[in-house]
Amino acid sequence: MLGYLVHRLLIMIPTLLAISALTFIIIQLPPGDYLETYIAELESQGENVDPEKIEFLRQQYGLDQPMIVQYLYWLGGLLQGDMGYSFEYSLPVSQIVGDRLLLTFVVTLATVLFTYIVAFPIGVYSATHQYSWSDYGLTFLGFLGLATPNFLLALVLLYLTNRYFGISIGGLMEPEYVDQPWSMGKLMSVIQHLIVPTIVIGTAGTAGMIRRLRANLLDELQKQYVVTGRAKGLPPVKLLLKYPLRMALNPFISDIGDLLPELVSGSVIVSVVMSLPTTGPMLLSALRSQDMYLAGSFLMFLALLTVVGMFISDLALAALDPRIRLHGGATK
Amino acid sequence: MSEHRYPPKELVGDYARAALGVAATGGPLLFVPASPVMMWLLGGLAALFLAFGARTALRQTTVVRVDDAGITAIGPLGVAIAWSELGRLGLAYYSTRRDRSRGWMQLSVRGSGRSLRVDSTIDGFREIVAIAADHAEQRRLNLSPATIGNLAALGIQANPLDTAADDGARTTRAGQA
Repeated sequence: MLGYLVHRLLIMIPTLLAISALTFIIIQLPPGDYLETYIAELESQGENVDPEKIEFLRQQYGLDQPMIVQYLYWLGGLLQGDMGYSFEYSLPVSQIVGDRLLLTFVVTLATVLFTYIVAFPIGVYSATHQYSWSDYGLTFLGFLGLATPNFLLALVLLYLTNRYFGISIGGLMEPEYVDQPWSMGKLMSVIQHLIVPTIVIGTAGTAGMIRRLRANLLDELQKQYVVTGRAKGLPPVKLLLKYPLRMALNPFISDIGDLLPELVSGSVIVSVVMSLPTTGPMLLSALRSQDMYLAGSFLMFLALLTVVGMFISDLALAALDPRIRLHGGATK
Repeated sequence: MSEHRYPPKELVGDYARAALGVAATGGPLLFVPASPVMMWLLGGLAALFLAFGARTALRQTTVVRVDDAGITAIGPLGVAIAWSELGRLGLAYYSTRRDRSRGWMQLSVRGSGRSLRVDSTIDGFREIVAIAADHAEQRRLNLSPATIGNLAALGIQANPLDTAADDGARTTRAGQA
């Protein structure tokens, strides 16, 4: 396993470097820079812009340097924990994203847990009770979850929770706790407000995962080794847990790689609709205003989540099912 | 009795990986004053690559001997497992490619609290696996479905019925006895 770990890590390093370079290039691709966008915005409002001041800012932020220099400066800064400077907020990126990353992590973790806790038993039940009324019911619910737009579900749930539970609309805490230090009241408020976003963001993923687990488990349950085990008198639950379920878990585990970044980037519209103080809306705003260090840091964070997610799922798959695929074949 | 070694040309790639890993993770720490988090992260990774380099060097100096009594790794961290003490046999296949091609296998043998791992880069790997699988069969060890599949890929047949429903099989044998 150490050999596999080293092989896999060595792939991650150039991947992350290539992603960081691509991210930086893509952010720089639109004509102009943040300051030009800023000037255009001021001029459209009829305000005068001092060219000397703009030139001074351009020099101060290194925008007059070649792209490669700016990239290396940014990359070196990342190693030192300095993610650059946000022109839009006039603050270091690390100061702006600190709380948002924490809250995004909380929302993400809650959603992943919700997805797995709900999808796993339902998927197993649906597969082991194929074509029963309960399977049809759960399948219907799954399709409903897949087909319902997240933002619509968000609006409906916001209304219902406000009307029947008195929870304030939008945000991840009651307004009086915003910008206040952490306390038990604030924590409870965050937990209360987490319920709706967790359900809204997690619903589509849960429904998809139920369908995949059901399909995979059904495939495994029809294989000969299961029939053999049954014929030899192995208890049904033990037979299910020990062999077919383990095999059917593969797509569950390989989903981790896609799940982590999707939960951060895929929930942008929901975050806007629900006014969640997470990274999604800020990333959108940073990309629109060409706030390159802020956008770059977010995109690197997403890339890191993707690569780390893939790494974790590959390690788990290698440990769970280290089988050769005969069409692939070993060379050594 | 047969003796098996890792051919030096097969280890060159592993040495290169270890060196590349140490350079890529430890190098930046020498030139950039990293934050504490990055220092721990990159330092940990550099230590891992160093450990991998040390393991590769260890393999270069190790000889795996297989005879009627058992399997023995002769080298700086030598270990011997008698076939009569064989308690577990696993054959895993690893590949970093999406299509699972160009991978390698690893045989792990355990007995009396000791374990020994042999990679498929060693000369005569199939021979070692065949002998170990034969002894596992004699001792009626439970083999995982992955191990059975990998043995089959090497052309070594294990009895899947014994392992697919091991508990049931044991009951049946006990009944027959």
